[in-house]
Formats: sequence, structure tokens, C-alpha cells
Amino acid sequence: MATITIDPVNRIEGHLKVVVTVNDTTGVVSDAECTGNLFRGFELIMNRRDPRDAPVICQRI
Amino acid sequence: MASVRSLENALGIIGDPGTHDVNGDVPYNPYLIPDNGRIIQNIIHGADTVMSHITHLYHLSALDYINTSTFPGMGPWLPSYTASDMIDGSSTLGSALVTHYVEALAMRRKMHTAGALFSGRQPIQNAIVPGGVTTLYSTTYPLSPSSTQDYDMYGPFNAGDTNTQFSALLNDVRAWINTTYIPDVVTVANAFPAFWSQGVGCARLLAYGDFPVDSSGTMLLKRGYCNTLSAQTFDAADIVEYVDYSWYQYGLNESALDPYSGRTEPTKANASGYSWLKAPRLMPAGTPLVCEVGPLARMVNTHLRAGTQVTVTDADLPAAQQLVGAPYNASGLIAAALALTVPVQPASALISALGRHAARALEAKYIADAMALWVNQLVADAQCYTYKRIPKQISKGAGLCEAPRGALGHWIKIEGRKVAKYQCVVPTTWNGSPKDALAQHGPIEQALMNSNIGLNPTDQIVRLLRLIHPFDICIACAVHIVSPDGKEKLKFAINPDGRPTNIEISE
Repeated sequence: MATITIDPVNRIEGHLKVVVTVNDTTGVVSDAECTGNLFRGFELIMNRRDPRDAPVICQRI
Repeated sequence: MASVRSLENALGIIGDPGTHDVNGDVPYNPYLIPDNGRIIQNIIHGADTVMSHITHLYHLSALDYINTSTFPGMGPWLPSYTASDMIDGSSTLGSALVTHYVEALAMRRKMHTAGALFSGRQPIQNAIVPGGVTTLYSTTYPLSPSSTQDYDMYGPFNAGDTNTQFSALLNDVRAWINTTYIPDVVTVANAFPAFWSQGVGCARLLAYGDFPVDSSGTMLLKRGYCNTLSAQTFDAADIVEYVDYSWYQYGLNESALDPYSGRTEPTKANASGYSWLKAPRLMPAGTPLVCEVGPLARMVNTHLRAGTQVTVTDADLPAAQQLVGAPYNASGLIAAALALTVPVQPASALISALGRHAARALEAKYIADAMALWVNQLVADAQCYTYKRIPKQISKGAGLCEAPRGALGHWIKIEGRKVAKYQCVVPTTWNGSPKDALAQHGPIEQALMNSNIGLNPTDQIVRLLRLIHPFDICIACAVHIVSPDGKEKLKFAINPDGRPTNIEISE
């Protein structure tokens, strides 16, 4: 079994890490882990704000 | 759109039941958005979606299939991974695809400009508001186009000029989708047919549906979920999120939380955690279901709901720029496109790495052709939004929509005219999710598992990317504070009262 890590995965929006385990005689992936490497935090930013701020602040997600 | 819809729901402008009828439509009760507001919301949202799909195929995915290492010094194409089975970028086919990569930049711009005629700017527009849009769609608005160059145009214009300019830009993009974008997807698919059966994943597809074409909730893209090609009924009340493998913490004895009671409490103390994404699941009957979202989920769920599929056409374009040439609906478009594949693929093959690209291209066409009809349904000088005050009493709302990358939901609770709770469950959280409490892998993880990526180390990387990229991952919107040289300056914790505390300087 070999482990392949792609970090970061390029040509996407943001930072993603992918780790896979590959069978080195068949080439078949047996396990995969997908890691979002960015904390987003919009839920916390919105706390106690005027609700009308939501479309301005949160429309990008 | 999701944040606007959550407020529309909380303010009583739309009463979204969270579920849908047998046709995948969403009979909102009430639905107080005037027709102009609904249509302009759809147009702004649709223009952004079509722009995003074009970007995804050419600028984010094409280089998984084309070897550009024969173009020395050509950033952003180099450095790049290469694989032994790639199309040579300097061959006739390769050069044509590279030319289309450049053309696609202009098509993105045209689509953005078209949307901005209604929204003032794209992306991150500010015209869509709870109840409709702030756009003035007026016969007497004084400005007229000052230039015939699309990149020089600044609106807003009067209604007649807006329509003329919008239709010209949109028709350029529609023609290009028919003559270039979809044929390129077919060409690449026919060159790499093995990827029709790679990257299948969880084979459960979820769509919230979007683009209401009338005030009774007939949807261009239907709501529902399906197990392979078997349609099921979706209820938003069944959405839960797990954090067992995420860098978040819940309270004691909390495992699966619905978004209204959800928590976003970051912690690096979870030893099992490996992602900043939570693990959203659908829980219709006690067992959490892993669901994939995105254009594939939308097109398949629309295809499976035959009752009220919306008919559009490309027959208004010059004959050489048509792809179907007669009125068609989602099922008809899928059938027409699959007939172009060699060997011919069945609809079930859409649930694959290539199927995700195909569904995205077909959806771009379906939405673009629908927009050509919508713009002519607008009534100049008619009302574009309904105003409602933020209520004094406690209220809550769910906003479900379809972002370019898939099902997107925002949930809001309002108390004392302030936000008491805000939770977002976004497309890449569904697709890129880590494991849940039952250790079930997320959709991208499942799409990688059991796929054969061969034994050649450089080919393996490219083959993995060919399985990952079709999900169109988007996790860029995060909280960063950096200096111009890229060093992180400060880190903040946001307290429960909404105030930030500077917690550390990161090294």
C-alpha cells in the first residue's frame, strides 16, 4: 500500500488536501481523506448583527 | 441568494415548505415576490452560474486532459502535472482546445457583463434583496450605452437598452456553448471513455432546486434526491451535520445537529478531526445518508421529474449555432447529448467523473436558453420588489438555493431584530465532507475509493485530479488576515457575543 498526498489540490477555489491509499499491485484506491484547510467563520461573524447584513456579507458562500 | 431567501422566509415573503411535490416543484405559500423581481433574481443568478460553469471546464479542468508542457514559459499553464495519456497541446486537437481556453475568458466576461446589466456588478452583486431586486427596470431611466464594446458598458440603462444589450451578449454565449463548449466536452469524453465509469462515488444525488419560473413554484431545476436513478422525496428538516472528524465541537451528548440548532465552535482538540468542513448528511429515517450535490444532481433530479419540466429552445439562433434546433426539456437535452458519445453512454453513466462535466455543460445551456426567454417576460416600469420590515418578534427562516457548485442552504434565527443564529451548509461541505459518526466517507472520498488510478506515479496524480476536479470544489471564502508578503499577521476568535478577540500571532 502506498500513500499519495496532494496538498494543495490546484485549480480549485480554496485550499484542499487529499490523501489516498493505493494498492501498489492493482492501482486501486482503498482509502481517501479529504481535508478542507480553511476555517470559514461566517456563522460567527453574523452573530448579533443586523439581519439585513446577511446578504451583503454571506452572499459569497 | 441563500441568505436572501432565508430572510425572505423569515420575513414571510416566501413560505418555503422545505419539501416538494411529485414534480420536484416547490409550491411556496405565500410567494410575494413580484414577477419582475423573481425574473431578475433568476437572470442575475443564472448569469453567474453559466459564467462559473465555463470557467470550471476550461480554466480549472481542461489541463487535466491537455499536455501544455510543449508551450515553454506559458504561465499559468506551467508548471503543470503531465500524464502519458494526455492530448498533446500542439496537436491539431490540442491547439483547438487551447484556443477555446482563451475564447472562454471572453465568454466569461460577456456572461458577467450581461448579469451586471441587471445587478450593477458581478460577481458579489448587491442588487438581490429580500423580496426581489433593487434594479430599476424603467423606460425613462436616462442612461444609454456609451460604447459598443461589451467590456466598456456600464449600466444601468433603460429597459429597452438593457434588453438589447443583454440579449446580444447572451446569444454570443449561447451560440458558443452550442458550437464549442458542449462539443469540447463530447470530444474529451470520447478521448477518455474510461472516466465514464470512474469516480462514481456515493451515487446519491441531492438538489434543492432553483429558478422558479412562475409564482406557484414551478422550477427550472427540480428539487429532490435520488438513489442512482430512483427518485426520492427530500425534506429540508432531514438535514443534519456531524463533526466527529472535523475541527469543531458540539455540546455533551450532541451528535447530529440540524442547522437551526447547529453550532460552529472551532477546536483543534478533536484528535479524530482532519477537516474544517463538517459532515452534512440527510437523515430521512434514522440512518445518515451521504449525498452528492452539484450540476449532476440537478440535471439528474430534473430528468427524473417528468411532470412539469420546463421547455426552452435554441431555435431562435442562426442554424449553424443551434445544437438541438427544436424546443427541448432537460430529459431531451440529456438524450441528445448522450447520443453524441462514442461508445454511446446510458443515462446511468452520468454518475461518473465525465458525467459531472457533461451535466455541468448541459445545465449551462439549459439555463442560458431559459434566460433568453425570461428577459422577454420582464415588464418595464413594473414593481421589482416587495418590502417587509425585520419583525420585532422572534422569527426564523431557511434559504435553499442552487449555487453554481450545488445545493446551498442558509438558516437564520432573528431575535430583537438581531441575528441570534446563522448557519450555512454549502455545496463543498456536502461534497468534500469528512467521515460522519458511522465513519461513512464523504462523496469526494467515495468517488476516489475503488477507482483505479494505475501504477505510474505521475499518471496517478493526474488521474486523481480528473476524479476530484469535476466536483468543482469551492472553499476559498474563509477568514484570513495576511500581510502583503503573505505572512499571517493576526488570528481572531469570535466570541458568542459576536465580538472578536485577538488570540495569537501565528508563526
